[in-house]
Amino acid sequence: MADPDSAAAAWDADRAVTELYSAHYRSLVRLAALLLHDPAEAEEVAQDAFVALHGRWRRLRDPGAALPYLRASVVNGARSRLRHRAVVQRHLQAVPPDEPSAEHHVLARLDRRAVIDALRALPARQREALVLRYWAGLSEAEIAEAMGVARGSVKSHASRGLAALRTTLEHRS
Amino acid sequence: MSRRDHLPDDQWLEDALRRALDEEAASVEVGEDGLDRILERTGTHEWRWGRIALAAAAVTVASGLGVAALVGGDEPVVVSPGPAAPTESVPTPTPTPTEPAPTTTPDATPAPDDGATATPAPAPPPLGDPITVPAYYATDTDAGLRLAREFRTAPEQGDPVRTAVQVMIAGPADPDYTGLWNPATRVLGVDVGAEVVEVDLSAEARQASLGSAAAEMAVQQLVYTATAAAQLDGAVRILLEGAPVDELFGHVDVREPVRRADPLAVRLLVQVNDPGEGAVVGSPVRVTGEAAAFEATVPWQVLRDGVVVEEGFTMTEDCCRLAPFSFEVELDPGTYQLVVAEDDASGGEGRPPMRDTKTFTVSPG
Repeated sequence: MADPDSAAAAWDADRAVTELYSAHYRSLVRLAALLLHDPAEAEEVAQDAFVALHGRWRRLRDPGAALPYLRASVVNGARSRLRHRAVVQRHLQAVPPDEPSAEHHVLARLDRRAVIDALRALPARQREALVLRYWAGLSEAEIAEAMGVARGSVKSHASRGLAALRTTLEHRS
Repeated sequence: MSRRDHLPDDQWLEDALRRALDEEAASVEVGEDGLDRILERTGTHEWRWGRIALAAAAVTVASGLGVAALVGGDEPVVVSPGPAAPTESVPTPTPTPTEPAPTTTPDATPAPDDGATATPAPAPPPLGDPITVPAYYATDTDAGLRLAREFRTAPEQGDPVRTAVQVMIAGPADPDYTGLWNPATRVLGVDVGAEVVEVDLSAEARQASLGSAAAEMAVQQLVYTATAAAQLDGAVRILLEGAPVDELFGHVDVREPVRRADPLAVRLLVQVNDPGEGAVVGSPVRVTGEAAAFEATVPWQVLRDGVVVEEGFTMTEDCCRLAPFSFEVELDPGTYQLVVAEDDASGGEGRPPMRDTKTFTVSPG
């Protein structure tokens, strides 16, 4: 408890948010977009995270804790919003996907579309684990922290997610 | 398929996933005005919270739609409407004082109002539409007795304060909580003034054998419940059979209206609001509550048959006062126990960690 606000006190909250914004805003919006559907919502989720961080700044002792906090807020915010959209999503999934074209170069693009669609059909936690591992490149401990789960669950969410993706994609091809 | 077959295991899938995610992320347009929007909002951060909480509280009272709102001392707390609060009936007051006290089981069903008109005047008010009210109980922690709160849905009895006090007297739904009041006590009248809530109780209130700590806690149980239901940052004047009293339970001076004691000293510092005890909910389960937690970190576990099936931690707004937390957890249908506890990060130097547990059921579909 000696020197409680040491490093954090050196920055005020506005300054901290401004610095962290320029370093991480873009990637946090993209993280939110991969977890959500709607780019506009992704920006709101990222902004919510910064607003929450601002309110908490004085009690965040270690500036190094800021990015994990922002990530966890984005994952949590995306999850909450998805829940509200669950009904809409079920409706969208009922619409048949575009028929794949025969052309070879289109096939490559469809592959990405197919992967992203399959990813979005996964339960939220499996999608989170996969996005944080394969896009953000985080360690298992970092993923656990961002998702708010135990490290052991990260592995099981990721492997279940991967298995579900394989099933879906093999059926498509 | 041929392209994939020569790659070991999930390598092809992992590669495809990485590529798809990279391309998808790169296609996301990021606006230019994000920082302005954030700073616009942080400039009014404190103000917004207060306003939103109070506005929501006002709405819930006006509508009376079974949404609980609570003003506790100087910190307004709003609980958003949720499906988790179990609907139940409040046991009606027992008709005669000489009857044995009803037990306070979680599933206490109402004694049917079978026209037992032996009750002395004033007659209890007619039961109205269900409302949700806050009611405080005691719970035993390693740090001694603490106040724990439930949000309970019950038919309105005259007004919210009277309903809440009656629910408090009847006892908790959560088996970890205890009511300290004699369940045979009836609420004879409630008067909500500008600064003082007057609560008139029947003489059975005295029939409780409480030590000094429990006696203080019993009075605070009533003070917290009545001020919460009245949404008043004020005090409670306790009357028995219409007359002022000097003391209660042989220990507590109640000549003057009693104010709320410091929440950090008397409340359970980890409190789950939703799901309520015995609630039947859908998945994902939204858990809300309040905690005054070390470093604002609140660990939780969900157990099924004693085995941990999900666990994690959530964060509150604040470390050093009771501040809201919420998280969601996806669960298959079944009955679970939720444990939300304080992190014992003090290394055993401070008081022992507190916890709140709820048993709830996730319904299929």
